[in-house]
Amino acid sequence: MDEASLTENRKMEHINIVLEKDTQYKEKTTFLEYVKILPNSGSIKSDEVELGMNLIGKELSSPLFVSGMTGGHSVAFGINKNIAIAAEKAGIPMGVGSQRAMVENKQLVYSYDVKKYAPNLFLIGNIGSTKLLSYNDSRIQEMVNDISADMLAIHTNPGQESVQPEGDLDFRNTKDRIVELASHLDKPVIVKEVGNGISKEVAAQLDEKVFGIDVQGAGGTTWIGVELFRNKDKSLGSFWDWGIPTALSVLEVKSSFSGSVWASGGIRTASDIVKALALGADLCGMAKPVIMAERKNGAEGAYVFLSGMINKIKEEMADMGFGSVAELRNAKVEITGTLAKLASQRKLKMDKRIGVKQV
Amino acid sequence: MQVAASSANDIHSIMFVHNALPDLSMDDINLECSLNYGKSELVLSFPAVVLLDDEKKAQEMSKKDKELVFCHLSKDSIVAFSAGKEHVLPAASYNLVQVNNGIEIAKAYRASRSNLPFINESQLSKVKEFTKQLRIAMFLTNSRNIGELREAPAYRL
Ligand SMILES: Cc1cc2nc3c(=O)[nH]c(=O)nc-3n(C[C@H](O)[C@H](O)[C@H](O)COP(=O)(O)O)c2cc1C
Repeated sequence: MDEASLTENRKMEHINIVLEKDTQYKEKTTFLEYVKILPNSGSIKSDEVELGMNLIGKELSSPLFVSGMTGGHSVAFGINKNIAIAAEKAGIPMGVGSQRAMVENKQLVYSYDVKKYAPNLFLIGNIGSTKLLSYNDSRIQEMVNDISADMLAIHTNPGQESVQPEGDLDFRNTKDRIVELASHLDKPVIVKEVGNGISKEVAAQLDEKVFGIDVQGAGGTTWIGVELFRNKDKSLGSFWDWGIPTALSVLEVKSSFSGSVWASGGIRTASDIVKALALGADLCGMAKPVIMAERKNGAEGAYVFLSGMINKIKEEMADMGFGSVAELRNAKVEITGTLAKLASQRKLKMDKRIGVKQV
Repeated sequence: MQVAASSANDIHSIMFVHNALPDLSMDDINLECSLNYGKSELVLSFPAVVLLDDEKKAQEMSKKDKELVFCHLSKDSIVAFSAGKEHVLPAASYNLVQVNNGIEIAKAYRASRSNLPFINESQLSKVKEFTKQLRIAMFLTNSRNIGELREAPAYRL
């Protein structure tokens, strides 16, 4: 089999594992359970809650997005198309999965090119940080143009690569290459993990160099776990729970990065989203729950899931007396337990409105 | 000098801070660790020693397996054998910590300067496995060598 077919096979295997197996962290949570929001006084009706926002000049219905997942084969095309239709209808961005397959084989562009079916969609392209070392700027620009992406997500996934049987274990110069590309590309760049989170040290290196950081922290789908299902070497099971929990990663990144900060990795409920926004995240993303909904009921299934989630965010905010995301992001928040302990240990810089309660 | 129990708790409280952009290749990682005692130096190419009950056996095994350092614990010293050569380390300077995988070796070095990770005879078959795990833990903390691993960002739970 040539390399392109191998990549295609692997991507299909990933989807099947995610759909069929338990790919959640086992011992580690997002730490969002340690976030408490102090409600506003006064009650608001959920239909009065305003979630709309602007992202690089485009209007979104709410600060929610679908994290990049797939592309590169016909099943992936169906998934991307359905999620695109649903995300456009819901008024939120979606990411595609790694576009490496279409860079290697132009015939696969169709599987990512979903604006054909959802012209007003906010679309986020995707490529791996180590792949940037083999592709020059114009190749990446072409990849972005080919699908009319509004933004490019660069995923950096050393945990996954370490456990992936065919993993890429050379990350030298990837940070410099990201910074270089971001200064040349005509679209904003966001750096994302795939579920192991981003620290303040890494975020500091990207400050003022990229548009944003999408933390993709621990507590949801573990990509080390997904690869462990594929790897015959079971001795790497001790890495299953490796990573920085999502809530902690949001605080880590906000402590040293002044750009847009997105919370993701294990976001499952409206309450998770409201808490992550209150911690200061600009947007919240979900991957696995969306593909699950899409695989069950296609575009309609994904739409029902996403619009339902948006309504639940409004209800949750209304219950706490917040009429807008801006109000929520000014709310008084208390962090407790292990989140409080570790955030203090690391001397993370936090807004004054975030109180740290250590026991 | 203490063995295991108290220091084991200590290593389990370590949670490494994942580094999403390590500026290294897995091939850059050097696992060597040197223990300095008096004016001498003992270099561990696999950075955990094998602790045995029997000193003679430790010496014999070290002649057969030159990659590993075999030790025996006497009253106030750790008698270590590397390729048959004897090194007598002051036991008071080291905190021997039993480890059960490569991540625990990394945690032992990160937790305390005096920790010296060890495995026992029944874990000898796991050395390859532990080495691979340790390399990954070092990769994901952007540590090129044990010195950098000792300084890698970590949380204490
Ligand atoms: C089926 C599937 C495929 C994925 N493929 C990619 C990918 O190609 N590129 C990428 O950056 N992330 C990929 N991810 C990772 C997600 O974007 C996300 O970081 C991770 O799944 C954690 O989010 P979750 O807990 O909401 O699933 C994929 C996730 C899923 C579920």
